Amino acid sequence: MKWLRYGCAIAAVAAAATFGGPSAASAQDYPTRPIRLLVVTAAGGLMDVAARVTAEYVGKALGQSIVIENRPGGGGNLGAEAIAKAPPDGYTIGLIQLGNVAINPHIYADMTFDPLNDLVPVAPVTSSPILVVANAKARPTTCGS
Amino acid sequence: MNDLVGGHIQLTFAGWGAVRGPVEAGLAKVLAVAQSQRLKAVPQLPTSAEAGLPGYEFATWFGIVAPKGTPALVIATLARHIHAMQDDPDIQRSLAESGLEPLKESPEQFGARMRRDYERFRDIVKRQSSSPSNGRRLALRRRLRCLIRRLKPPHPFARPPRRRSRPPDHATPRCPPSCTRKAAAA
Repeated sequence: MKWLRYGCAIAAVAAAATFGGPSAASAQDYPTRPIRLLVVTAAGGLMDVAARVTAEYVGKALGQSIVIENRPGGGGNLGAEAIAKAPPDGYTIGLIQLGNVAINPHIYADMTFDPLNDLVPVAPVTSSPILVVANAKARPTTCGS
Repeated sequence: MNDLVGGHIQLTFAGWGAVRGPVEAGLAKVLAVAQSQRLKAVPQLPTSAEAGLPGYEFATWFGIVAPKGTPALVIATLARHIHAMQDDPDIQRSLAESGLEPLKESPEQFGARMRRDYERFRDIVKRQSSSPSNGRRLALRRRLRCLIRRLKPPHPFARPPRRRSRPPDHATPRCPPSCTRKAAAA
């Protein structure tokens, strides 16, 4: 009866390939349920501001709530990996920052995913310049001194 | 930020949203904004060029991504709504309070930016992570050995160290050239 079992398995795989994949129709009436937004830093940071503003505005425009999930840790690798390995159906998206794609792959030897290829770009939200900040009592008044 | 205000560190690098509280309370001061234009929300802060560091420019971005294989239609829908949000003056105002400025780009432009930044930092990391030269490595080892020797308790049967005829140099502090006490003594 081995051949029968194999036959069934092949039929099941074929059926899954035909009917199980994300069809064009499901993408057209997207979204039909709440969307998860994974954020690679802890709640309360600067990135959380961008996440909350986006979740509220885009959620309202789409007519579905966008639920923020903070996934800090591993220099952002933990969260970014969770995004990369989520089902690609549009119901899990993520908010990442420059470091996730540009810096971490060069400084972490144990990357379990390829940020540049496993994550597809949707749109940047904000840009924020870095400030050089000193204690108020510090001597220097310009960076040259 | 807490370490900076507490005086444990002298300098830090952060976004406006993170430093706003201490700066407004007078506990920290911003030396420079690492970009060529001043921040729209806080125009009184100097740019890096104005502060004496021309070319020192670095801005981070926050962006929405999706797992590989997400339908193109879904990505286009999300991008459209994000762009509409970035054009909204109310949103721009609330982002500006945290020093965030909208960065409006298509998915393709965003992808190109990701690749560009990847290459830029690959080169920077490569340049910074070169191993120390042999001379430097030997000097480090010597310093480390010296430290370890000082930490180890002396051997129980060790001979007492020889008494030096002349007190060591460090016993009498030598004045630096700029010292005023030396002039006063003379």
